[in-house]
Amino acid sequence: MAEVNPKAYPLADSQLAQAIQELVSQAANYKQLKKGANEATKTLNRGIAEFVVMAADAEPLEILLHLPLLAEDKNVPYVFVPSKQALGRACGVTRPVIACSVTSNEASNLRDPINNLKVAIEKLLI
Amino acid sequence: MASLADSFLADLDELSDNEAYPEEENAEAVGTEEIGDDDMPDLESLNYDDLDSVSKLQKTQRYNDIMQKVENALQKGTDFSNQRSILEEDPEYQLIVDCNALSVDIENEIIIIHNFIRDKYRLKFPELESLVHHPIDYARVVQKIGNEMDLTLVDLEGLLPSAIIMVISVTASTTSGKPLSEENLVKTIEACERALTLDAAKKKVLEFVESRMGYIAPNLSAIVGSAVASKLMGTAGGLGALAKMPACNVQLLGAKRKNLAGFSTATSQFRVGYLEQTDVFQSTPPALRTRACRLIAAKSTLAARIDSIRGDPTGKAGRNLLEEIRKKIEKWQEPPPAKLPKPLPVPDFEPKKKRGGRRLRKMKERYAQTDMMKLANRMQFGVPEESSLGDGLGEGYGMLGQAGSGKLRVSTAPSKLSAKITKKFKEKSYGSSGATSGLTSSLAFTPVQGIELSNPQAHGNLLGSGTQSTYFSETGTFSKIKRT
Repeated sequence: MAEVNPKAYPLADSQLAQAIQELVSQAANYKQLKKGANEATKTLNRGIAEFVVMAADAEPLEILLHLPLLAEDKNVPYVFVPSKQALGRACGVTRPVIACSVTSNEASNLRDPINNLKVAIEKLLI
Repeated sequence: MASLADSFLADLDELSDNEAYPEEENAEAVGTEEIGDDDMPDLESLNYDDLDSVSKLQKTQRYNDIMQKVENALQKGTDFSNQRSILEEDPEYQLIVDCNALSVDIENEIIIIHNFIRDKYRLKFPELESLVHHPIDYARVVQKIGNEMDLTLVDLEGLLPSAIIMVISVTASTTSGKPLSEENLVKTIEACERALTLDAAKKKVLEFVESRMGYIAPNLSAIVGSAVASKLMGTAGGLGALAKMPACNVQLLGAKRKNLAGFSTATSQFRVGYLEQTDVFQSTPPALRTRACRLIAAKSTLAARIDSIRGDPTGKAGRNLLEEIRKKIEKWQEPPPAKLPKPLPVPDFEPKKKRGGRRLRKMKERYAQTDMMKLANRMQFGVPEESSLGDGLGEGYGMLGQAGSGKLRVSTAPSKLSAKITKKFKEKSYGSSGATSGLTSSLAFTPVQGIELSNPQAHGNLLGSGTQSTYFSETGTFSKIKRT
């Protein structure tokens, strides 16, 4: 879209968004992904979320701005990506996805890529 | 005397507490005089007879504080241009949360007072409680009728519909009730006035909450209405907590766990919670209410999230979401598209494969129908057919043997196959010779000619006289013993 909502902070650039979507796609294959704002809220309440990805072009954006508040309470990294259509494709869903959450699994092969991406997301807040 | 003194002191305290309600003060003053005149020593044993023992809400400090604050807030009017701070820290917001809880308490209190009035007034008019069900309407009617026995003198216009007024008048003319005593009448009228006062207070509280709900949660109020919005916020513990809930939890807010006492749930009504009280849900047909409730919960959660960070103070997003909900529900109620008549499938245009060749022709010739069977299957018009048993019984011969020759044999052009068979069997001749004696059979069987009937008298001439054919014929095959 032409202009991004300034409330969508921190917003990932194209390179980091690409890495996030690839990891989200792998997490979908590994069944470590929760799709949708309601399910992301539940993972944050239960404390099993690694990081939360949200779409910056959700209309209106306020329908998912409760997630940063919850993520701050639970000390979970969160990040905005530019496109909800691309996030939906990364999740393996034909519909747009405005929020998703990668969940924890200690025995997973994705643990190291997830930790690397969490560090990269937290660098955006500095 | 000590108990009477205590009751007098309590009444004095009540008078000082109820300065804001002059009407009730007069009523209680009359009540006090009545109690003083009776001079009964067992005053404490009439616990249920006393209204104050069953109705205590108006005496509480919380009630008075909240009502005072609501009065101040309503008089102050709506001026929120200066208030842009965080919502939960606003003292008026906390007042709204308290008002939500207080309105529930007032509702329970009105029900208790209604039971009190009903028990008192049942002596005079037993049928009235089945005619007027609403507690506030019942209190107004009781206050209007009083102790009057002829209801044609009482004007109930404006309190109830005309049909119910007519029914009450007719029922009152045949009621078995008796006029109340003065003491009971005073208590009943006092209870009616207290119920009406509580109802007015509850209306004031709800008016305050709903007027502020349009400011605090405009989008949520647009979808579910101010009353349900205030209940949702009260149950969730605030707008921020409501926004942080998933939609499936919002659907269950206000749902009461139903104790069926062992009965089946097959016929129990579908009860959800506060969302059941919305206009959209009530206007949905019952078959679609489960889906409608889920849809309303999802959209209400989105609206609450918009309101929690004050995304759209005008409520336009909420009205858009409400329009989406209505369109979806209308879409569900449309019938499925009608089935068109299905055309016949396209016929198969592939031509048949034709077989030919020398082998097929010989196979057809070998197994073809014979000429004899063809004639046997035909019948000539107007001519009866012969049969194997005579008179139409047995096997019919059709046109076989109709040529007049008397024979069933058919003379046809010899086919190639028949010619071969005839040539094969001609060398073995089985014909009867002319030397056949009279003791042999005249029926000869040949493989080629089939069954042939011959005339046995044709050999009679060859044998000479008639005596030679007798037993002692010379041509007989028996052995002869010659004379010596």
